[in-house]
Amino acid sequence: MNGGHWSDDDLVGRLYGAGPDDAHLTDCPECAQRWQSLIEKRERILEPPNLPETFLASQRREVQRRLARPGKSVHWLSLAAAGATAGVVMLAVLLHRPAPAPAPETADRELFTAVYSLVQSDEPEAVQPIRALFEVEP
Amino acid sequence: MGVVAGQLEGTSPDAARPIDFDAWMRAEQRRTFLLCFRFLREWDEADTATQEVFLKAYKAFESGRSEDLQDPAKWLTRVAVNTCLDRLRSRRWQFWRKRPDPDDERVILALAPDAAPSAEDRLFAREIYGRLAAALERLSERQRSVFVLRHFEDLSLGEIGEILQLEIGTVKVHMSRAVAKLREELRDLYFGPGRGERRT
Repeated sequence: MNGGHWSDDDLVGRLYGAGPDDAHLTDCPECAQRWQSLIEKRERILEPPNLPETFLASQRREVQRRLARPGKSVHWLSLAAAGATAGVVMLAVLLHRPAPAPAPETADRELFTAVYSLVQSDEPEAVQPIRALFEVEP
Repeated sequence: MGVVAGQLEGTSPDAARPIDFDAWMRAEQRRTFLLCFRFLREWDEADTATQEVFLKAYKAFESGRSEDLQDPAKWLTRVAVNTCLDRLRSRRWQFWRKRPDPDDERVILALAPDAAPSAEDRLFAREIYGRLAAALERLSERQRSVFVLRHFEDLSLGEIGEILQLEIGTVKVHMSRAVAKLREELRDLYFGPGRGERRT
């Protein structure tokens, strides 16, 4: 609202139930007239458009056709088909699963040897390169 | 109905009398399709949604869920709105359909009523309708539902609340936001182009 009269936005808002909600329209003849013409305009705008009767008839036929379809049996058939497909996929996965690789025994043995030698050594591993500097070549 | 169902011996919502489903569908079909079209903005989508709505209605009549059907027109509107919202949600993932088909846009413009007297005014009304329809896409689901039901179906805020199962205060909030977003399009629709915002 601005000054004495409602703005166009106020009127449009009121038309949609989102505008000012006071008694101004009953007190102000000018705004009441604008409000009335807005309501008339809306009625003209809302005249329903014509839809082709051929389209509506074909839509009704389609509804009838879908109602005639045995919905439940189709439903169970589709469920059964989905179950069968899932079963085939699971079977295929089980049949084609690769055999587990044999345990690498030698690798384990080498690992244990290396760990054992480290534990048995008196000096830390980092010293070994330094020792090499003082070794005399034959 | 027709060859398929003949006259459906369902329970009428207001009394225990048989209802002619075919006649009822004929009476509600145009309104339901236009409602769906205004939500979905695609002819084929609205066609499919309308069919779904009547299939659900038929099943409801058949099962005699009379508590749903005290007011069949309102109930049908609720089913149509929910069906459209479901379709809109599933459409979110289909980003390539963001823009409606050009043919559908032409249909949207053609659906604008020809109430204005001159060719120029008619053209203007159609242009505004096209813009309004495009602007509806910017609204959230709830805002669009509330606005479409108010603007096109001419329902009161209370009726909209019943259909969408919302408090009337919530409906008002959604409506205020919708109108704020559509302000320019609505002003043109009611007052014509180049009209000043304020009066003093």
